Amino acid sequence: MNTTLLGLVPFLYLGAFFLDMTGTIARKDPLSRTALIVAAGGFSLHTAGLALRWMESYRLGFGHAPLSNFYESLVFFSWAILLIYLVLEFREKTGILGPFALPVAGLLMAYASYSPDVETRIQPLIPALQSNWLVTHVITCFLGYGAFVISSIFGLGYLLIRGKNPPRRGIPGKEELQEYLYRSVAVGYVLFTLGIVTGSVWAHSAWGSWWSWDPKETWALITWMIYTALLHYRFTGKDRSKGMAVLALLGLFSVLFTYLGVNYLPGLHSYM
Amino acid sequence: MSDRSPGPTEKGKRTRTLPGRLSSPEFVVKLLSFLAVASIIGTVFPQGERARDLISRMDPAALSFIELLQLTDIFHSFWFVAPGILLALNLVFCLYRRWSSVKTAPLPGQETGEALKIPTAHRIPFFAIHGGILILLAGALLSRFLGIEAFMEIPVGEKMEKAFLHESGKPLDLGFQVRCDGFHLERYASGMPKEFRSELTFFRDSAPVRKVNLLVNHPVSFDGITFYQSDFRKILKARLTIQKGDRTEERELLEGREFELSGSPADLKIHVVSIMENFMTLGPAAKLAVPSPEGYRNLFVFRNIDRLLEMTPDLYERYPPFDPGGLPPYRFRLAGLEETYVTGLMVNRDPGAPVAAGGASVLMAGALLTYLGGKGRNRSRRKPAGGDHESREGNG
Repeated sequence: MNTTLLGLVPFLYLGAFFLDMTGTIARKDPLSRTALIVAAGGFSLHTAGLALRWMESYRLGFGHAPLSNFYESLVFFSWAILLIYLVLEFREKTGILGPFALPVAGLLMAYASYSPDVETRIQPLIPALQSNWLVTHVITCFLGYGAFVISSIFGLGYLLIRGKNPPRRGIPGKEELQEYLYRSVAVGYVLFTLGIVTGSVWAHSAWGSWWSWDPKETWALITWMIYTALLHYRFTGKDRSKGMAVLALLGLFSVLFTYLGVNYLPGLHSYM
Repeated sequence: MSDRSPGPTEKGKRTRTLPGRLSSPEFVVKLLSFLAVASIIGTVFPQGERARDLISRMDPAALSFIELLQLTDIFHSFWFVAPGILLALNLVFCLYRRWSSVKTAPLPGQETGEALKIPTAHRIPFFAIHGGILILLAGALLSRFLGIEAFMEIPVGEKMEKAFLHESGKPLDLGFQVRCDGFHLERYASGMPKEFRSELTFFRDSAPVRKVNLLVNHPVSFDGITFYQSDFRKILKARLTIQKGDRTEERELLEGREFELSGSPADLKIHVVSIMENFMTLGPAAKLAVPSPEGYRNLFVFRNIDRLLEMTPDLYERYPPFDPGGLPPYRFRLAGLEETYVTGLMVNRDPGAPVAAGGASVLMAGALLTYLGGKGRNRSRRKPAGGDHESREGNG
């Protein structure tokens, strides 16, 4: 039941994406506003799907938060991106996130729901995952990832836009983009740091070791160092905006590798 | 921005002294970039145990290069640890510089001091974040140099008082004994593991003191040492009957253990090399090593010896190690095999843990404060303006 509901979500996100693109190209603001409403509707369905999945797991007799396998991580990653996108769009009206955040979130959900490689059934927790730290660790990490994805969109926007001034009304200029980038990285950084700390505490209670240089831990640290460098780069003098934008894209690569790439390196965190 | 104009600015002064240079954000960015690249190498190049295979196939020149750079233990190598120490020093200098600039904060109106540029609300998070990381590192160092990380494997029914240190493999005397009374592996209907549980009893001076259930994610402490359910494996236990004259006794044997024969000279220790369910299609067997004048020799004890003799009547002449009477006056027989579990426990003492946890809490409190502070700032200013950079100069 929950997978059927969640399976509808990618269509709404991708639909919102096409509305947003059409609105931007045809310069019709009402279309873009409708896109935002459709995206918000998709997000409500997404949230309801997650809640339903949580309840269904209890009905199956091994209730746990829907944050435990690859499918659930994809669904939550997409949810986190949408959450940050919606908060930013409603508060700041940045105007450039939609064409990037919506297809990314939509494709993540489509892959999760329709790829034959992704097991969508609710599975019980293996002993290593039976911990109160699971929920805090996964939520903070993925909200952090979501904020980093959003910041990379601002970084990309910064590198693509030529000239200091916005190319047209409704799209932010370079200075605004840089400010958005910095702030979204700062938000993601706090969450991701919390994710690493809770992960370390959890590792200590599960394996008796705070840090074991497992590839996933090491890549999380690499990601953390990239964003630490980004946050400090701003204060190294001169105009560092371009470098920060490049670091935000590098950070995105590191996030993706931390999330997926380490499955191809041997370690404790593999989803497969 | 201020640093573009040369002159007696705070930044200009900063870069001239060594502590100034060490505490600069430029240096932080360089150190972090270096450490990030080194870490990437550390996840691609096999580390520790996993490198053994690679090393065995290396030619000596490449091997000496790898050893010189400690490439198979990057995260403990000098060229990884040294920048780490520099990063910690950078934090110390940075905190010191900021602290002295707070104490000598000029009065409002004097535009020279750096402290003026940092709103008060940002100072607490700054000290908390950077100080928190330093405290965390101090805790990690405490654990590294005063802590213990060891491992022990206890077969069900056995009592042990030694663990083996991770780094050196040397035995560590716990000062008390641990007995594994049972190991339970529960599964879900789908076959996925649901629970690994060891029943342990702690003994002090051979008297049982405490009984516990040890589960994954639920460590147990005894006498300042913490135990973690970390591993398990199945092993075979052999029941061996030993006949001497008209007396017969039965022993339960585990692989890798030694046993003494009753009534033998004290130095006649027999080593259980392996216990096999099916040795060379001849059925269940135990391989023993017995001392002899030429060193150790092997002795195979079979479960189905009668059938083997029927098939090959001259078995003992052809294969002397198969003779169950190969160590007179004793005669061995394998009465049966049983499957049993060995529970694998992580054993550690972690004196830095409270310090590290304190550091992490301070760090997180600071980070959350910046976040809250950031929100407030954001509301008061709709559009980001260039002049704002100045006020955040000190944030890094």
